[in-house]
Amino acid sequence: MPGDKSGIDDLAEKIYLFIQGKCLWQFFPREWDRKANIEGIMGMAAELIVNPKLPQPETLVDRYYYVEAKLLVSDIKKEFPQVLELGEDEKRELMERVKQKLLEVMVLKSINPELRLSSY
Amino acid sequence: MGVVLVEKPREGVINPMYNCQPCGAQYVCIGIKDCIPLVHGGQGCCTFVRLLFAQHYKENFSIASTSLHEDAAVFGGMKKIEEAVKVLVRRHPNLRVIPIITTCSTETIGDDVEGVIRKLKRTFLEKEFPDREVYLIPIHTPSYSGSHVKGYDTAMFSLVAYLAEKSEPNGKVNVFTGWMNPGDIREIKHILAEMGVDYILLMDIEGFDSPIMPDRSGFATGNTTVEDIRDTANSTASIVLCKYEGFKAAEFLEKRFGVPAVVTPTPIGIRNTDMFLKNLRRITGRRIPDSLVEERGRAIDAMVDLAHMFLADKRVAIYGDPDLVIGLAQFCVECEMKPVLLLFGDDASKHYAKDERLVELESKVEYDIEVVMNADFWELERRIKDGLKLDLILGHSKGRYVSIDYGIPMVRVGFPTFDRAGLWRYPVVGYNGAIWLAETIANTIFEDMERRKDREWILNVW
Amino acid sequence: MPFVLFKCDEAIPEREKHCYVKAPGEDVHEYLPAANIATIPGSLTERGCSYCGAKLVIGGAIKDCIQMIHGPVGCAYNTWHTKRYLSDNDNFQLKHVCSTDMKEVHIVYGGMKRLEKAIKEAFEAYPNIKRMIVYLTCPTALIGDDIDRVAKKVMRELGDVDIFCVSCPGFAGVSQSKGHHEFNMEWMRGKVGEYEPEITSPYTVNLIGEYNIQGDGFVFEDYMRRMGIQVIGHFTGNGSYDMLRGMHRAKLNVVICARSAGYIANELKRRYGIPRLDIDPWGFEYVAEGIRKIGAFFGIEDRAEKLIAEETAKWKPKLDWYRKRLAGKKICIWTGGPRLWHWVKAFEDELGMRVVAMSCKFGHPDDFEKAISRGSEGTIYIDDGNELEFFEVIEMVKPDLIYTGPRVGDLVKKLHIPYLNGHGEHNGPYMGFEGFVNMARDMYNAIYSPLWELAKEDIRNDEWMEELEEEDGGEESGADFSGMESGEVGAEG
Repeated sequence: MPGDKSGIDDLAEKIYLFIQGKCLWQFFPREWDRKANIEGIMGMAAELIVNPKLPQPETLVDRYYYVEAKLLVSDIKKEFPQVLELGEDEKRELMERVKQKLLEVMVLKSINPELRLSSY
Repeated sequence: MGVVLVEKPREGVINPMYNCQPCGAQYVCIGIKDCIPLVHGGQGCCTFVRLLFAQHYKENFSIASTSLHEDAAVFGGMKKIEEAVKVLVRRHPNLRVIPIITTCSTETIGDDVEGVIRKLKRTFLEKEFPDREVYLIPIHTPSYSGSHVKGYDTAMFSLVAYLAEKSEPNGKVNVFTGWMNPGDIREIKHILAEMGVDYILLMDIEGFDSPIMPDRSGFATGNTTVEDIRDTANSTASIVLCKYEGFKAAEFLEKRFGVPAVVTPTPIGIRNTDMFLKNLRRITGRRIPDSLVEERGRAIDAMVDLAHMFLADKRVAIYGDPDLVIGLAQFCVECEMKPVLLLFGDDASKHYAKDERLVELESKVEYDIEVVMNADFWELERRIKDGLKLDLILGHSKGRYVSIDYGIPMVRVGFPTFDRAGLWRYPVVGYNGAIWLAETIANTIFEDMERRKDREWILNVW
Repeated sequence: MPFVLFKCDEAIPEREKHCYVKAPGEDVHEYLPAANIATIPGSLTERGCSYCGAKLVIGGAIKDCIQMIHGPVGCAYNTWHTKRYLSDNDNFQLKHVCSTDMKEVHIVYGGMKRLEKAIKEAFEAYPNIKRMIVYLTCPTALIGDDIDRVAKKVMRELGDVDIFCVSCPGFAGVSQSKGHHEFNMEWMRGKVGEYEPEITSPYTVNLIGEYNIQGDGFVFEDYMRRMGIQVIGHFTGNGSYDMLRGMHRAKLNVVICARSAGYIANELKRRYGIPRLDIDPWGFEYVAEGIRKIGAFFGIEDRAEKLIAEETAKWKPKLDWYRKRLAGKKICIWTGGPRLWHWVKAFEDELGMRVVAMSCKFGHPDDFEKAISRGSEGTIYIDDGNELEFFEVIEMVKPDLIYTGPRVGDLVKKLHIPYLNGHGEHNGPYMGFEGFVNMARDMYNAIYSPLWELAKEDIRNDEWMEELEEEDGGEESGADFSGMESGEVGAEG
């Protein structure tokens, strides 16, 4: 059920799996840019999901996050319409959980030995 | 008037005509049954040769690599040979021969291949597989020496020198074919059968033309066995069809075991096939049968139908393996064509220039034949740019863009011929090869006449 | 156990860590096949070498420069006529290759003089070409030839030429991947920023890791043109040497092959702040998504939507026709690396197929993260698969089709399994909307070929005669074929 904690956990897991199966930005080759991408895009997505009129950022890199986030949010709304029923704080929390899960799987617990190489 | 020898005036190569030694060695070795050649070098030296073979045959050939990486380049790659041999022997229970083919990198490093082989026999094969004989045969083919032609010759020599063993006379003839296609091998077998000659074929690659079978058992494979090669020491004689690809092995058998080596001109065209039969007659005492006389007559008939009407005076450029080029040039002369440009692509061409077949050719023609030594495709292309008139190109597919871009009809011959379907199925040797060549050349010229609307109407009634 | 040791690998148990079967609920931080590590000698690897990665994959696709391979002639010969990358420069890049044709004397005394002469000769032979790439190979690396020094000298002397040198001896690294890396990093270090391209649009991109195989890149160049976007560096399909030196002027890097060219995108981001957008160019949904993102980046969403609508209207009905016939078919993807993850979901989601096994030659761990995240449970994932493993996998999964290269393809046809060229493509282009239809068409033609039924049939089997007799109801046959039953006729010797 939207609103209760286990509902958000469940939804976060589903969205995480959806991202896993689709988005290439979570797989960037090194720890730093993988982290930057996940934080940048998920951060932007959390903003966009509550404020669809968020203006396009100035710098090219921020604009890139914005674009990825925008398409992700649109996908999430389409695939998981129950998100629309959530309140603003719940939406933020949901996106935060997805972000944490992605950081956990793709960065913190990653067993990819090339992730921690010092150069490209 | 005669044969004019020139050297490529440049140091580098622009559009190569010849490959490097390890390729030739690999081609020899895939002709052996129950054999996986092991290329000692970087992976590309094996992977891209396999790709080349696959391009030509649309078949897969198993060739292994020692997968030389940086550590081996620094500390030597002998351990890699050890590992590779162990993996191959353990994983392939029917494997009997592993030729170890060196490359530029491992020759530069100076790996002691013979030493590793001795060690492997003692510490691995005898211990782990006491009941199984697996032959590890060193073949030294640094890529910076000679070309695939020399690589072929060297590999054949190394295999024969390693395996040949004197026992009882077998009454057979060793037939060293040189680098040929399955269609050629089939034709040679046919001639030998008609002559009633018992033989050992080096290598029997007819099986490269392999079927798709209902029980999924059809795979491309060579069919010369270890026993066959061992038995070459006991044959009546060796006959060498390509002087530059196999003579070294035959010469070894002559010196070491007293098996006489007979070099016959590559049997392309009527006269050369005649010589092949006559040499077989001389070696074995077998008479030339009526059936082959009839085949010969059919070939001459086919050539007569075409020669003065369509082929006469056509100016031809020929490139490829040396014996093939010379044989084709002789064939052209038989068909009244003018082989005005011959190109040999490696630094052994000084030997080719002195080849008695070229000397003989010179005595037969009343025009210049330019022979370019150490050539590349730029030598061909440059001459065409500078105004050389050619009616036909004979050679392998690597020269295809010269034909395409300059609109010169070309008949693909030799190896590789990846841009035409199944050519390796047809012979260029023997009387049947002469028929195929004459008619394929004619049909190619006909298509060109039609495309260019150049007297194409003549074909209405002919 | 998620990792599997194939029967054929019992002698090389270290292969186990390269072969993985995905179980329900597993994450990529639990199991990941070992990848991009040393090849096991003698394992019949399909891997190529570093030189191949640099020359054959990347440098060789550039349309307006001379390829000079500093080594024995085979390196040039064997990587010539093995690719289908096109260009609008009369395919100069397909037609020509140069070699210093190193001989023993040069190995002993050094090959730099030889290289210098060969470079000058080549520029003389092609007076309209002023750019060149020089590749270092195994032996010339071992003897320590300094190709950079030679290149600089010639550039100084000739004045109007530019030469790029890449050190990619075949023994470096474990596969062609090392050569990709070297080329990327060297190009970034030595060439990017040297040239100021003419800017013709406010919207500029580099297309990175796209090699214009059978015109794949032409499809994308066309999409960009229709959206009013200028492609500055096409790295490297149909790529121009000088434009690739001007890559720093693009506002966005659109990355297609992240494996072979992700490096330069990363460096362009680090050095010039140009963001890296990875897209999937195969499959309608993926392509549409990629175009949407590019459009959104430049604020030209309307143009993107117009393009997507036009292309979808044109090609979707055709794709639907094939989808109906391909749904449920089992497929293997045994290619280089990235195509595993680019293709798996496009095949499964858009065509209803099931990808049952994937193997890559030169993938890295991140390629497996992607392939496994996108791939199905129960699917087999293999790093650096070899012949014997392929045979075993075929027995396990019984595929209807295999996307792989010519060598393995020529092997599997003997097992009555159709193959399609997953590298050079059968009849491409494969990218973009039309490309995915071409892919579906090739798959349909291969799977439904009448030849496979014929191949399976053993005409020696006499069941058909029994059937005939049953049909005849035991009536006496007019002819006596009894002499032909013993198998004498047509029996093999």
